[in-house]
Amino acid sequence: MNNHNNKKIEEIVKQALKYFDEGKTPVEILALLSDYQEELKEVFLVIDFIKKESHKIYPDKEIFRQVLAKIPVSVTNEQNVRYPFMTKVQGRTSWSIINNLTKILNFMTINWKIILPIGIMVVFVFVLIGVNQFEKLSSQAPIVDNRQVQETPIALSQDLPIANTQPATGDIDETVNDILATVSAEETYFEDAIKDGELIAVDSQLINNFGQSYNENEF
Amino acid sequence: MKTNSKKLFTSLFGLAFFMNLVLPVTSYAQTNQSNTAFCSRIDQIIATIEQRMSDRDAQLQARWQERDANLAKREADRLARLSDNRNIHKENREAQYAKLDAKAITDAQKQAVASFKTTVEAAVLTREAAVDSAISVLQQSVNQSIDARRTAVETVINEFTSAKSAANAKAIADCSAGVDPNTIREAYRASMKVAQEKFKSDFQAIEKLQGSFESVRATKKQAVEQAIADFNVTMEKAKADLKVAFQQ
Repeated sequence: MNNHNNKKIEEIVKQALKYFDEGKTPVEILALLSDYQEELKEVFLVIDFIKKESHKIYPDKEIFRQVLAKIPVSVTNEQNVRYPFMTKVQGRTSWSIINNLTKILNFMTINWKIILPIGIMVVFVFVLIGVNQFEKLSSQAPIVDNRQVQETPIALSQDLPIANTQPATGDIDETVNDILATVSAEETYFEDAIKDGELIAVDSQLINNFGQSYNENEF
Repeated sequence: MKTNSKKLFTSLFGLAFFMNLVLPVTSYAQTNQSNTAFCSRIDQIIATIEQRMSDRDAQLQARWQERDANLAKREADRLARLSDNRNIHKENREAQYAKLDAKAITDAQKQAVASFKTTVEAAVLTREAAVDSAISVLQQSVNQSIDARRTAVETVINEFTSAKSAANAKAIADCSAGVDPNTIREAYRASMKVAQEKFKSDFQAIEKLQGSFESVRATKKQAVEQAIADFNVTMEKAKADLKVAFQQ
């Protein structure tokens, strides 16, 4: 019974809203549906209240965000006909996509005709200052010549063999061979004396270094 | 889009125009600053070069001292070891002669051993004298080459130092006289470059002095080889004579 009344009231309210949409005033609607004036008065009071206060209603962003967050992504079965290759069920766009779109939109709205020349000017100024500073520093910095090549200490090996003799046997061949063997030792000592010649030019690099004391590129 | 391109082009054109106005001025400012800095830094430049030359000259002197000491030690060690070896060889030869003499039975054999000893000792002395002479001449040649090189290098260094001093003095005087710094700088660089090139060419000539040692080395090597060849021939003949006496 109660359910029946509710349905009836619903139909009356629908009818009243229809009249309202058609431009009839509340007084006219109440006159037309006089049996349900009490219920309809409440409805019109609500409508009147919303009309008056609607400009004061500002949805709380956080609440809106929370409400949307509770709605799962891809909740509908509606196919995206614009992109037939996308067979996945589409729903509300995720926050990450919205954020990316926002970034792109922000990037596109940058006024490049202003930013670009300013950027070029800034780079130019930095380069100019850098070059000036480099010139200044290079002209004031201590003159350092790194072309000098360090020489290693003199390290000339010397091989001086110790006499190696065979015991005397009285055999003529062995005696002669032992005496002839001393020849190689003498040759070795002579070669060692020749090796001294390598010390003559051991100062070449240092002399070259001296000649390079002046470096024209430094001034 | 069309409007944006137009504005962008206008901006870039304006920038290019601005840069064309600014760049020559900045470039001139830099050059002028650099040239002016040359006179204000002339003392530092001179001090730096002189310090560097002084340091390198000291390194060169140290290297020469090190070389002299090294050379002297090599010569001393070589002569000492050679003398020791020769004494050992002589003792060994005496032992060999004694063994041969002990094996000699007949007077002819004893005479042959004595003759063998005399021949060998003479040949050894001749060979040693040839080697000693060659070593001595080589040492003299090395020392002479080193001395000549050092003298020549000192001369070249002095000339370079004098040229540097003249360039320094002129630059200082020109800076004091208010000559254009760019002119002073270029003149200084040119003078130092000439001095540097002369030093380089003079040093290349000095390097060729080592050629005199090379000729001595070749001559003495040939002399030693000849002495050793003569020694070998003498030894072969002495051995043959001894074998005849011992009927071998």
